[in-house]
Amino acid sequence: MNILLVLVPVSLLLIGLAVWAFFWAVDNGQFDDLDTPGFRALDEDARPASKREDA
Amino acid sequence: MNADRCYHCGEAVSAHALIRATLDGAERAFCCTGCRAAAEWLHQGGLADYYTLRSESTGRVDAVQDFGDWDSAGFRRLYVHEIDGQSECDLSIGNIRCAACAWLIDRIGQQMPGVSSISVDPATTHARVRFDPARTPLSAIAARLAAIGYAPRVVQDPVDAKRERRQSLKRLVVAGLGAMQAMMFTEALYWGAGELDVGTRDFFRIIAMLVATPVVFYSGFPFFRGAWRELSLRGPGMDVLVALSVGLAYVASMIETIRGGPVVYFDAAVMFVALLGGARHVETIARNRATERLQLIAAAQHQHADRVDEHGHTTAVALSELRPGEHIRVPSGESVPVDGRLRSASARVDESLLTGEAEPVQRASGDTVLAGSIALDAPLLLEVVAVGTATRLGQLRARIGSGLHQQASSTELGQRIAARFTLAMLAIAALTGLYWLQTDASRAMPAVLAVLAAACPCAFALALPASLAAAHAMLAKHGVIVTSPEALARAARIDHIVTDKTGTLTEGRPRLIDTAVVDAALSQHDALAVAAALERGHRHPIAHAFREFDTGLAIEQAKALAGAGVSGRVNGRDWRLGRADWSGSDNDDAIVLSNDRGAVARFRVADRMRGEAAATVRDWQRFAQVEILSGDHAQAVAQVAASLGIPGRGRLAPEQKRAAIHALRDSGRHVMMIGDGLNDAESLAAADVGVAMGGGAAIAQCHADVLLLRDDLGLVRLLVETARRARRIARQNLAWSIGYHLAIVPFAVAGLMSPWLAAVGMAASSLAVTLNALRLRKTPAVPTSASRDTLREARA
Repeated sequence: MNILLVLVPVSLLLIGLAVWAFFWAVDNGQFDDLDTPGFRALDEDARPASKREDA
Repeated sequence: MNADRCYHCGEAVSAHALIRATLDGAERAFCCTGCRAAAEWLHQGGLADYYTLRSESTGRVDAVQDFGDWDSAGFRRLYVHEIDGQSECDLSIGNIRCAACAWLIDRIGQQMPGVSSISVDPATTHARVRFDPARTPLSAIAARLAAIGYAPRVVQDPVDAKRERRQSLKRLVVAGLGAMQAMMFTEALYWGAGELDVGTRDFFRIIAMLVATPVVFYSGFPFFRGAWRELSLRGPGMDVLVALSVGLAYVASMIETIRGGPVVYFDAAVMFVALLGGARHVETIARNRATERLQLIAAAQHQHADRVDEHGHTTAVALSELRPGEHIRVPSGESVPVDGRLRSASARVDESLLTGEAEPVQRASGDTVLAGSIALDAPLLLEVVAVGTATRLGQLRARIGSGLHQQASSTELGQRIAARFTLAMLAIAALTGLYWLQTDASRAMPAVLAVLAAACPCAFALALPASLAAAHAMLAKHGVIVTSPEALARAARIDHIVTDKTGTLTEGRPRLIDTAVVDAALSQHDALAVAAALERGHRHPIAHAFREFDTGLAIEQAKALAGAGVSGRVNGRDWRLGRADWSGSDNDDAIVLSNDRGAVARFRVADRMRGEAAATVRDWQRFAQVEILSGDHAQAVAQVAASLGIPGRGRLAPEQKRAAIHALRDSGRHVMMIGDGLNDAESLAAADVGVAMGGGAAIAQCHADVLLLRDDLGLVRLLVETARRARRIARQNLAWSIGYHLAIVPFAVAGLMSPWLAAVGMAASSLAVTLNALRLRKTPAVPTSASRDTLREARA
């Protein structure tokens, strides 16, 4: 059962990492708008290409 | 896309509308040249995807507003902030209907030089613009948005609930992950109860405590804060029970861990937090978004005015800086921000928001012009008489505000029930503890915890919010925003519908209903084109009726004579369009088009009834009595009422409307009020459920319980139907959870149930309740205008 002494802290570390990553994502606004970004995938042009000056 | 609707804004256009364009090989009809220009611009700019992405249409492109003053120094001082060398401004964008709008606005921002971002939250209509004023002025950005049919308005210091929302999401995820971990470790303890050696057992317990600690103190913090508030207000409710169960389970488990006692209950503690936290998160998010939107609409109302000093210079100042006696200028087409005395020449103003009367009123120099009325044909110079709360509008608002407080009682009732339940359960837990302490002290703690876990009204607590959240979400998807949970409960009981006329049953805008060409040399098409050219650029409501027929004929010497009509030179002829006696025809109430040879065509213009009005009213009559209360002329009201076969009263002041609704409520009826104008705001607040049309006055929206984002009366039926289904499901849920508690608590009291089993049972019960509530997400078969179109086609 001694392997638990390694595996359990490792799992806790992973959880800690997951929580840290999630907090980072929330603070960066990843969860503020869950509707609009879905539409970006339907765009044909890549984002920078659409930066045209008054066609 | 429907053939008889404007391709851009979706408004109904008559079959012989003249404004058409060929886009991507298909011919499209438009309601006005503004909408056509917007569609053409979007197609040229490679943004045509918008039309396939959107689920709701935008607003109609109205006469282009002048945003010139948005670049003035005074305006900048009030609304624009400098952040990291860039300018930033908060807007509330009217007519945003769906996520595709946010996408489109974002793309428009990218196409304008110097604009680094326009980030839009479609749920609240809030947009934050970051731009470089040297390359693109704010007025240009606003004008671009307006040209597509959006209505940008500046907001000073918007309420930003983003931080709170983020915080709540973080707490929820910590609770979810932590609860799973803690349960995993305690579960191992249960299954391996006999075989684990003491060292491993204690190791598992310490780990479980380690993961439970952030769940209890970080994720559970709102419960402890709520419990503290409830206690300090001497009204123990849900939060006290939750905080007590969680706190007790956690502290007891900690003591057991240190002492090496038989059982720990970390799993029970974390499950409370995770499940209840989740339910609360979902429910408040749905509600907060609605209130946030309304706060933004309220904040976007007039906050500044153009002050004119003695040298004739204008500066934008905040309304709070204005003093009585100062002079301000109100551009034509804008609403008047103060009560003032007219100092410029006589002019017509639209007081429909205040009185509900559709006809413009003439105000002479020296007359009082009230805040909330709209300057129609010329800019006004006003001497300020009253500002803010001192205005008639301000007083009206204060009265409406006080009406709102009278309705808060139903929530209090719910809280009182929760408090009694809590106290009863605490008493049972205490008695159980006392009993076991005297008989078998070692079983006291598990029994008390089992009672608290079994008694914890998780399912009970979820029963209502879960069904409400599901109903809120379903309604929001269809453009019905419910601002308070009680409103949904009250909507289920509605048996009397009172509706305004203008803008509710009718379109609120005059439309051409009849054309008769007198001169055989002229086709109907040409007569309409000439009339449209004559009316082009005029703000009179009648001018709107001709806009959809504008073919762009050139016009010279365009003139308007107030109260009579318009004249000008088109196709080498002098034309007049207006009142019959002025336009050279016999006395008639039609609008007559004439040229040098006499009358050529007669038009009849009226505020047309909405296409779906008759069917909708019949539909309503199946569950409620329907009645019209309007501020408009008695004759106009009687006409509409008669054609719908319902009673109607006209010429009612806001106070009278409110009194009529109070009388109905006193006679035991449950009244729903549907309205759109400022004059309706008071009665919207007075009714059991106030429903505001999305296109109406901001103040009406702020005092309504329900907001219809689409001008579709069929949504009212959807609202009532959903409210009734929500009530039914909430009752099923309550019956289930009460039955469950009654069945399970005796076992817990008797000490026959271990805390973990009680917790598992509670989770299963909560799950059953949640799944039952999710059935509400399915849209019921209620006819809205879209589905009715297909119905009509099927019948034909």
